Amino acid sequence: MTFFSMTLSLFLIMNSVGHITAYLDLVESLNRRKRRLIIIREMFLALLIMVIFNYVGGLLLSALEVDTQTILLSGGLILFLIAIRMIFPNKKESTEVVKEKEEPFIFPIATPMIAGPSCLTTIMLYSHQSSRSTVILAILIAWAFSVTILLLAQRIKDLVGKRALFAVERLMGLVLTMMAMEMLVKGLKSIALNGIK
Amino acid sequence: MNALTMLILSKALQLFLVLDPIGNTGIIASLISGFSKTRQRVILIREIMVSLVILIGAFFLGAYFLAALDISQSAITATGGIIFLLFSISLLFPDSTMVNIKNLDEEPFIVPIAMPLVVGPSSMATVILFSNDKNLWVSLGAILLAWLATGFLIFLGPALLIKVGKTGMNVVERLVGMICAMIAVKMLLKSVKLFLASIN
Repeated sequence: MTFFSMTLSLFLIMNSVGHITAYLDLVESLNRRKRRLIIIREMFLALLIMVIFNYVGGLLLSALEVDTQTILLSGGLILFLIAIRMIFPNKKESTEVVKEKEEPFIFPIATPMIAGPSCLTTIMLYSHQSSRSTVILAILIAWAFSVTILLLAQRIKDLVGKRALFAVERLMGLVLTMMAMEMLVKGLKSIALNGIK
Repeated sequence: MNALTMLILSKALQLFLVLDPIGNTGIIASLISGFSKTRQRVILIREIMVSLVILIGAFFLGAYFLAALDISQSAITATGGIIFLLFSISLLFPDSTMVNIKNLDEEPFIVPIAMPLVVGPSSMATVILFSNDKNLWVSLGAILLAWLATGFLIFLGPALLIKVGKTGMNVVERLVGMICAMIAVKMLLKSVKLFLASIN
């Protein structure tokens, strides 16, 4: 796997583009400066979680006696479920998010929006396959792009409009579904070639 | 230490690892976090006692029961895998209507804490294997020992975790859901492997 595709995959799985609407709903009642503060704080928390997982993930996997096959299949499954829900959004969920008027802290922006289960599984998978410093660099680049997008969230929404944004979010769901399928296919391929470990 | 104690200890350790109280802590914490502190304690103690009954029951009757129903090892493992999978889905997507294990109105009773969380299919299978041994007391001692250690951790762990508050629980649930999905896939793969071995 090339460095570029690793970075791009991580950026897509962090899914900052797909979370623009949800994020704006969450911070609706807050002023601009407060919003910026929240984004920066939450994104640093997300980065911290991702970096920790890059280092501790291996330990967790060996404690659970999990190998690459299992990570691929379970990661693909989780990502698939998340992506399907992006293509067919659940109305109940979005209203629920708006109801919580408290200022978001860690939940739900840092995790599960940015450093969610599928993102963390992917990081564990990458740190299993290539060197940790490479993965850290990929995380940092993907993260920097995600921060930029969320900081510009309001402007992007004003620019493209609500309907176009919805369409883009669904499109992201489609891309993620394909990535999930690829993970599942890779897992099955590994089983076909090496048998079940 | 004489040979008998060693045997008990090694068997107890084997069962303890399969019971996996530490891995279950997060899940159990998320299940009972909605109740008052005293209620949580009552639930935990009750579930821990029930889990002993299940273990002892599986030890004495499990082999006959499975033989009578003609249930294979791969079916038991697959059951565990599917339950864990649905469980992880309900943790990852709390609002999903498909599976709602975490019903806040109802207190968890036996299912899912005592079984299949504390005593899962794999620990039942382990206990059933113990019952093949000749020395009854060694096996019973090992079961009791492993259960005591498990019960102790199950009693303390979730309470400690719940202290982290609602935000913390939300985060823990996602992470535990992720781990649950891995365990589920691992169990399902194992059941397929067992199935393939049984037809070859």
